[in-house]
Amino acid sequence: MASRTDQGTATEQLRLSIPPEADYIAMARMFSGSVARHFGCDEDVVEDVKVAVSEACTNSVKAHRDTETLEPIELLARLVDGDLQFEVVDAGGGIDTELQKAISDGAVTPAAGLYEGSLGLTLIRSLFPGAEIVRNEDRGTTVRFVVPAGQMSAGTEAMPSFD
Amino acid sequence: MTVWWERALGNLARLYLSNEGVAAIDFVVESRQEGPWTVVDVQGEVDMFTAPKLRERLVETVDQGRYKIIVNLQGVSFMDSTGLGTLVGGLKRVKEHEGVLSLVCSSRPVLRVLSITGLNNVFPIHESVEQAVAAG
Repeated sequence: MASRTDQGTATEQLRLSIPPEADYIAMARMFSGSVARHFGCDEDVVEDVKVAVSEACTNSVKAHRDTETLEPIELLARLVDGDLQFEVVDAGGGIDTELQKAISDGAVTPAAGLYEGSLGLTLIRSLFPGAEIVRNEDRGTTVRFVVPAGQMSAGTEAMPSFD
Repeated sequence: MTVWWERALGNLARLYLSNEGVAAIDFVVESRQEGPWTVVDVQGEVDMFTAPKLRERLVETVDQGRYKIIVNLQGVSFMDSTGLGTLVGGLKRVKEHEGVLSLVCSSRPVLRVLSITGLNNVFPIHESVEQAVAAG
């Protein structure tokens, strides 16, 4: 469900928790698209955000299936220094460290990924070159990417105070 | 006072209630014959949840001995890598029989993922079913 933290402006964020099932991925897309649109992203950027979130959630659902994890997948959106940051956090088995390095190094291209089963992650990196795909310290994987402030309209609303 | 996250949730709710939202949730795959071509009309969003229905239809079509397939994506508003993988799987199947799998697509989001992955160079892509049929 959408909620906000109460730890001050710097950590205020939108959060959506979805069950680790494929039919909820569309909901994550709608949520992320709506947030991006709200912050003034043009429609091409909104579509890129939806693709990236869909890919991240797809991998998360697979990871939860593989490990029979029933915990929810978390989607977070927050403004960081004017940029719009999205995170998909799962509690699955965690990305293979060699694959993580290969993707970070740009050694896996989308075309190759299609045949190696890692297309989704390389697609995210193609859409958002600074995207981070990291194995969490405890368990699971976090996919994090940022829409730069420059890709949001001048009229973008600042993250307001909740007072 | 309505804060930004309430408005964002309102937008999300409207998406669910709008025609756009309904269309995004519904997923339909239907087949028809156009001469020697089997046209597979797809509507909705193709992702991990819906792609198996498309895969099933493509496998079924090839199993019926139909190796000239046009996948009409004009009604598709979203496709991710699972959908792309399904199309590549269909292409591999028809190629085993020296067949053809063409796409009909003019949706910007779908064309974009095809382009980023280089698949726009792998599939013949047309703007209409008529064009695809005429191209043979």
